Amino acid sequence: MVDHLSVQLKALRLKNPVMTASGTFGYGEEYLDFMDVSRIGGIIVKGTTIRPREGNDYPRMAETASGMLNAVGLQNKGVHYFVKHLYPRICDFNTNVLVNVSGSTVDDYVQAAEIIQELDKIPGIELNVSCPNVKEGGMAFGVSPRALSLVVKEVRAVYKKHLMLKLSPNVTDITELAKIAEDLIREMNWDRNVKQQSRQQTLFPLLDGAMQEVFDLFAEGRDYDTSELYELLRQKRDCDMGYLLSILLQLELYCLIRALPGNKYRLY
Amino acid sequence: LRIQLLTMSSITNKQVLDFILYEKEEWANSALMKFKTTEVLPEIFPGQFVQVKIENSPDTYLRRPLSVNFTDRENSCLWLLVQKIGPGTCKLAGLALNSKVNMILPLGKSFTLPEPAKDSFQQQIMLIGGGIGTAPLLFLGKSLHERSYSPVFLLGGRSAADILQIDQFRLYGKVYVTTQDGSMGERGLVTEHSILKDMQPDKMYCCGPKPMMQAVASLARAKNCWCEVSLENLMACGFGACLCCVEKTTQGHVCTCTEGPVFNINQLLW
Repeated sequence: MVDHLSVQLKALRLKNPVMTASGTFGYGEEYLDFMDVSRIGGIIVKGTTIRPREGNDYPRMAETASGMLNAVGLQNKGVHYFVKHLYPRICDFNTNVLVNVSGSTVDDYVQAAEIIQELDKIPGIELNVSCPNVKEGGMAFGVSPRALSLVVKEVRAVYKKHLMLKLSPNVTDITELAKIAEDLIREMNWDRNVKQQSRQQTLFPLLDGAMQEVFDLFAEGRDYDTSELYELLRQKRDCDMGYLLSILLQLELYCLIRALPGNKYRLY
Repeated sequence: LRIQLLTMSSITNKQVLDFILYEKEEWANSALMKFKTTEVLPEIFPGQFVQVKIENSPDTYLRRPLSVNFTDRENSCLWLLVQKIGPGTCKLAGLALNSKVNMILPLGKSFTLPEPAKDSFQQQIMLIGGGIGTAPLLFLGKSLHERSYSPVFLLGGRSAADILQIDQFRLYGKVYVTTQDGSMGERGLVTEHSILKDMQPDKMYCCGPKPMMQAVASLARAKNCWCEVSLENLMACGFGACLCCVEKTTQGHVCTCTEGPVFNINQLLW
């Protein structure tokens, strides 16, 4: 079953296509009382910067009926703290632990990437290019083709493991920037995985339209267990098992966050 | 991996448990809800809180953090005092008896309990609560009483209707009351009560609206008195993953859910 779900992203192998978006899942250790993190394909830990950051002032969060919006402002204790205190606690998780790297200058990204590269059990990093570029008047790296190219080139020059991008959604045409990044990757024979950040709404990244069918099933308002739900989905949608299971895994994360007991699902 | 997971779990020791509502006392703006679980209730200390899942409230996405009002571990009972503020807390307070409620617990750091009192020397301890902020103070009062202290409770509210559980408080110590409309006890704010002029407590514990806690913190500083307050910052996860409930402290931004909700006033910037 695991083989059906596995995904190969260049050198990075995920046991299934479920990863937690950066900022939604802390460093993973916060959830150990509730779940076995080895069940998911990977964890992208909180945004990490070369120096500690205090983040935005409180309040930072607004609840909505379908999730929550937050503006934490990249609060973190810096990459050196990560290496010394957090990495030893999470490096033996039986899943991919990737670090989301942020910065205010290209040098910030490069230095953090170099330090993280030395960590054997971190197979890759994700560049958060939505950060303001202090040398360009605070405009985010990810909204300027020039700044985006520069940061990707400079980081790739020093970072040899799996590199992926979390693009900024605050652009007129995200495909233009995605293409720039992809071309750079192709030219320099880099990993091709370019991850698009579609929304900053956190906690639970829903899958595509298939999720609607799950929601429809729940409209009846009763509990389902995993096998029952799987069977219902299979009947409704003629697609492969891996795909269905990935929906179930996402759903399980959702339920975990709503902390439904055991293996029962219900949508409200 | 399994061994490591278990070890880390035992350190953090959060549990997700189902409870049944077996008794409820309801007032206009609040409800005392008594829950029971069939599981073994984990050890909970006064000041710690639970994250309560609100069922059938479409607008309530996040769990609601509520401080523990009382526990009876022998019978796996836990009490919550719920103020009806928004759709979530109204839905919770309106639950019928025998309803099932899911909670994550225990969360946060508790009040610092003093060593059990010796006969020859007893510290004067004052517990100051405002409105629904009195909720954790009953549990704290019970714990102090078990340690042979006779705490003084100073409870404040807008009117007599806000002063809840006064008989239970009286089991553990002397109770003083202030109400803003004068319908019970002295008229005015808790920080204006006459007892504060005469008393020089060794320790003060406080929970209530932020302006009240700030006033109590100023008072404690003026009296050079050790003081802990329990903050009520808006929370999302409740266990340190989302970094939404931060308070600015002498150590920078820290999560109220994991480093608090109880803070010594010396840690705070107000």
